[in-house]
Amino acid sequence: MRFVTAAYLRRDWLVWSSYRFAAIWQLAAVTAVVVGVAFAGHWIVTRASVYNGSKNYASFALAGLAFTDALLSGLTGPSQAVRDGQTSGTLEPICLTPVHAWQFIVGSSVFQIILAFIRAMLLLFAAILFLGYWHHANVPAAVLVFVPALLTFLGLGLLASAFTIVIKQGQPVVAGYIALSGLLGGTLIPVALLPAWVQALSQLLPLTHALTGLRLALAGRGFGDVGQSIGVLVVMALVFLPLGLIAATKATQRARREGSLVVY
Amino acid sequence: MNAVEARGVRKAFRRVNGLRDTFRRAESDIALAGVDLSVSEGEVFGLLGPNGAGKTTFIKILCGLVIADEGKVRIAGHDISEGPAARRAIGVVYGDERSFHWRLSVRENLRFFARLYRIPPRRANARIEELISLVGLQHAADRRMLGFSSGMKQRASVARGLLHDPAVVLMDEPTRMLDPIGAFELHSLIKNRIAAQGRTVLIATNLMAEAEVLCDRLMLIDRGREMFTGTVDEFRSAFRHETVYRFQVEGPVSIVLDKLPGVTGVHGARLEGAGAGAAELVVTFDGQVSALPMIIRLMVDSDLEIMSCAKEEVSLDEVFRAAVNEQQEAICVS
Repeated sequence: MRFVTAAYLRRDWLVWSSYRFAAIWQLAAVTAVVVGVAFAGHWIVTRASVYNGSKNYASFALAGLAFTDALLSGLTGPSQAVRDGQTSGTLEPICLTPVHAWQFIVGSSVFQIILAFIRAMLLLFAAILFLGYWHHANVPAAVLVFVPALLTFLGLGLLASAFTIVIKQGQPVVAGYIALSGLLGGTLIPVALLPAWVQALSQLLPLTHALTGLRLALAGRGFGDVGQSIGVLVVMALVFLPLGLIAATKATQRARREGSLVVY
Repeated sequence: MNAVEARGVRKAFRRVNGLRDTFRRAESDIALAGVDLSVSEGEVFGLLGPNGAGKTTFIKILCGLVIADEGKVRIAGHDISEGPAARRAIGVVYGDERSFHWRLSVRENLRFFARLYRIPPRRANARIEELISLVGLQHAADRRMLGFSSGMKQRASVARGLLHDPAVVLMDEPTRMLDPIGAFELHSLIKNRIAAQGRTVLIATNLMAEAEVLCDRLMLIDRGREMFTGTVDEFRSAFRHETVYRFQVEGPVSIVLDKLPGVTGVHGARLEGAGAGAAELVVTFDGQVSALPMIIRLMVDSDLEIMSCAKEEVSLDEVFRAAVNEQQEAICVS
């Protein structure tokens, strides 16, 4: 798998870096987000208790945006990889190699996940350096929240890729889920401000638990405070990752039976 | 041991025209109706048929991209359902241009696929150099494939198909996008470099000339059914039922022209280029009956001077058309 992943990383780096303007644009976007959110955050004032340990709205929103981007790359990456393979015609030659379908899907997603992680880190470091946030962050706790959260989203991403392989259009499913997560998962709107029944609904979303845990870890809280988030996310990862792997494998088998591997 | 062995391969595809068909039992189109195939090691085998005959489906089943509804496929001793192990024995060359990462160079594309085949980097680099040289892309090896011509992309596809040194190479209409010069070069490459190395090559094509130049044996399929398997000569005689001779003659042609239909086996005769000098008499007769001596005797007895006599060579394309028409007529009658 390491060998295969290295191949995908190299390929995706070469493709990404060949779009020079887009690469520069992504860096510019990080700067714009930090400046924009810090500026807008001054006008949004509410009870500090709703921010999961963040000291103001700007730090709440920046952490939300950074981690939502990083985590949702695990969701969007797999189906995007399949879609790219279908439209570019490279899916069939890749399926002819001795690589398993899930290896191709996960391998093709790794670069996008790393890229989103780097964007998130740039955003967080910019906020630490220029806005003075999170100087006492509990990094090991953040890692322990982030890893199962990413694996959960990767599992969901594999499920979405199965949709893309079978019905050829997985993006609407992913887009709907992202919209729902963005609204209810606490990226920009504190969950505590939502109506009680919506709060209950938001507890079903992995993003809610991931962002709660990550914000608490950034605020320097201990494992006692983030433990619940880690526990929920580990359970979700244990459910969705195998489910996603099975779904992607079954979907590929079905596409092979239907002869629709590269149909889009 | 046969390099390629297929037994009773059947495949039907569901015909889904709209949303309603997604949720009900839709009709199916039969792509392959129980095809058998045996290709020996080192043989160059042609899979012929008109568009929609089922060639591409068969190739995809042979390489494992499509799973057959029924039947067994073995490639170089591996059951294709074994997956990765069987796929290592197969190299596929597409006729479709869309199978590369166009923003990468051909060298980077080959490096990527070499890793997927788990070829160690040092060996992969040497192999890539060898293949780039084999297909004549040294001058463009580090250029993005965006600017490649169809011929260059096709050559890159050949290089990728050979990357992991497969025992069996499957080619799906490899010259479809090529001009005559590009097609000629690719034919030379297949014949002199790929097949000469002892690989088994199976080429799906609807170009009879291609099959004639390259193939030891061929199979003709139409509408998913095997119509013929044999050598090119056997194919020609199986579907070519008439023989045509052209005679350059001088003398009383019209008398002979009237008498010719009475000769046993003669299907028809016509005059071409009649004028003051020699005329050309075209006689068509049953290929199974040797009518030629009787025709010549009739001409001599009628005081017709025969200046020359030549058998009209029929191109394989004409035989192919005849074969396909014959099959379609048979289907219409039944």
